[in-house]
Amino acid sequence: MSKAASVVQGALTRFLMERSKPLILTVFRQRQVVSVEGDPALYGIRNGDFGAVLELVRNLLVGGDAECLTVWPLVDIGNRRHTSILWVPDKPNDHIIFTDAEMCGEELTERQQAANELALANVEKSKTIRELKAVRDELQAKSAALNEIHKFQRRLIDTLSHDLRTPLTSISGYAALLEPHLAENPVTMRALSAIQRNATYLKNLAENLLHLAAADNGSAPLLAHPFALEQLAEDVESIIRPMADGKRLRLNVDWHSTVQKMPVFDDLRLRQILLNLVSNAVRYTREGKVDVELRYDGDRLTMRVTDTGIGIASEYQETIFEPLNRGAQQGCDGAGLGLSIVKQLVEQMGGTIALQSAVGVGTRIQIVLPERAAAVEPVAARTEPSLRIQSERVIIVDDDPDVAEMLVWSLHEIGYLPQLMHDPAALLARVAEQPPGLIIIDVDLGVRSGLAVTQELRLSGYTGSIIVFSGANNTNTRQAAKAAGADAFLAKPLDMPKFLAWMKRLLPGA
Amino acid sequence: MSEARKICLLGDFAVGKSSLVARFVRNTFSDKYLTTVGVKVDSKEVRLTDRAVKLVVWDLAGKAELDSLNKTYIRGAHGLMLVVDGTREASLRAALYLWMQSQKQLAQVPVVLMINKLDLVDRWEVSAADIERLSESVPTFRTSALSGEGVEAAFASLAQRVTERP
Repeated sequence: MSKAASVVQGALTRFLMERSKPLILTVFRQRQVVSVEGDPALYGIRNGDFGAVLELVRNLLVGGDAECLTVWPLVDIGNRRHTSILWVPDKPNDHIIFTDAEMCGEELTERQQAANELALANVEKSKTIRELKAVRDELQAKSAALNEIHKFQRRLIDTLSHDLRTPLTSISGYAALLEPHLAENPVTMRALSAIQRNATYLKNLAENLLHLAAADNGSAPLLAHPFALEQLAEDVESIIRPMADGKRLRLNVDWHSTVQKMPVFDDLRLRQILLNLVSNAVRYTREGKVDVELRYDGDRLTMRVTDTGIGIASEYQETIFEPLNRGAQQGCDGAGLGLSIVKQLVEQMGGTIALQSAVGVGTRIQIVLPERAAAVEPVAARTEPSLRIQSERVIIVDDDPDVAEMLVWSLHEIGYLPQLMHDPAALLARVAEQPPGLIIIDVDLGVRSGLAVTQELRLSGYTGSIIVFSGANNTNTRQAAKAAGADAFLAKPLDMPKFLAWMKRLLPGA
Repeated sequence: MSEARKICLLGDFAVGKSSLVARFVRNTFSDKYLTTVGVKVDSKEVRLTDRAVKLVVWDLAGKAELDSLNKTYIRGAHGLMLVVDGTREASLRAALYLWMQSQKQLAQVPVVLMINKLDLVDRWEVSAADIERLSESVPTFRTSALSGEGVEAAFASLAQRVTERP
């Protein structure tokens, strides 16, 4: 070896000895330490106790060859200290060399711990995301299924309530027609009264069902109009009176306004609220009276319905306004929708409801509604459509024979000359030949839409009056009727007494 | 003095190899995760029906594949324990891959498979059907280092098999 090489080797040896801080044990038969070079304390060996490291080396040699030089890097010697161990076989004694691997071991441990923890967190994150996606997919599927059920239910309710209106028009109309003819016979009058009462109940139910369907799909905005309080009171009284009379109950409807101006509310909704409250009061009152009071002070409308009925037990007073809750008046009929709709409407109008009731004494429900023009969609005052009928000849177009014949009969009774037609094509020909003063046409004619026929009538030059009526009492149908050229829209079931009174006024020469 | 056998624990990181060794050798458990660097060697004498055997257990750093360091460590092993985290399906694939790689380093040595974390069985991704299928080709144990369930049985099974070989 050259001198230079010798110098380099010496320097390198010193450098490695300083950096690796070796501990060299010379051992006899792997069990007895003969000599020690280096600092045992650096390797956790205290008080000359080499038992543990000798045991470790013996374990490391299991499966290996003790006659061969062997190295085991990065061995954990306890307390997360790491070392490299070199086994050097020799005669008569062997050597074990420990070198300080802690420098790289410590750093490696930290790096690996961090990497593994990150990987574990990623595994958990992926799992959580998968689970959340599964939950989301499940919820979406359930929501879609529920939506379908919901849509079906609403369509069913809509169809049912619509289909109730046409036969109700017949029932109410024929009952009204029969009334003057049966007035002298008390038995048949009672029967007629029962028919009218039940028709009123069904009509109310149909309105409630329709409201539920409309409220659910968001198509029931409030429409404010100036309206006559007296008219509202009269309407409600005329509808409920037959029910009250049938039960021999006294019905008092009283109204009062402290200001000159007309109240501005959605009068159709007010009517619905009142009809539900008053018909409930009549239904659950066996004897005594039902008082209805309407008060308007320029800012608020107060409606109070007081009865001497069966009352509501205190445990039911909290839940009486929940839908389909009939527990409070067990044994009585009723769908249990009325009060929930009242509550819904009152809340929509920003009002309050107060209930006072005692079992066996009676019930008082008071509703206070603020006049909040900003919260509603103001429209022009609802008045009777202005019509001028030039001739008493009327053509009625309805594919429901009962309704059609009832209208023919009723209008004939008050002085019109009605004619019934089913075929729209024949109608157009008839009108062209001899235009009538008025055409009353149903929207749903089965084969064709009454609205399309109305439009055709106008396009053909018919200038007489057209009244469109339909079981679908909604803004869309009303607007479509107007756009088609109708002069008036009437909703089924027709309030026959009111309708006939109106028609009477319109009779040419009346 | 009982004969000694070297067995190595192989498996992906954080499957519970060190916890299984701690349960087997010292009957302890810690739920704090500390990664193993390099190798940690422990031993325990196992009594079999006709003799006792000292198992020298090499707890290797968890990896999804056999690196050069672990190849060095498994040299001369008499048996292998493949450890899987039942809650991580990927750790089963890693164990099977490690087994395949180890066969290039070792002659055919006895192997047992431990599907660990039985205490979290409701979160297991490894299916019962997969375990059933695997148990047809390799002795398979459902284990929990936390409760100790299945741990002794798995080590005893491997101890029996490694002592049956010369």
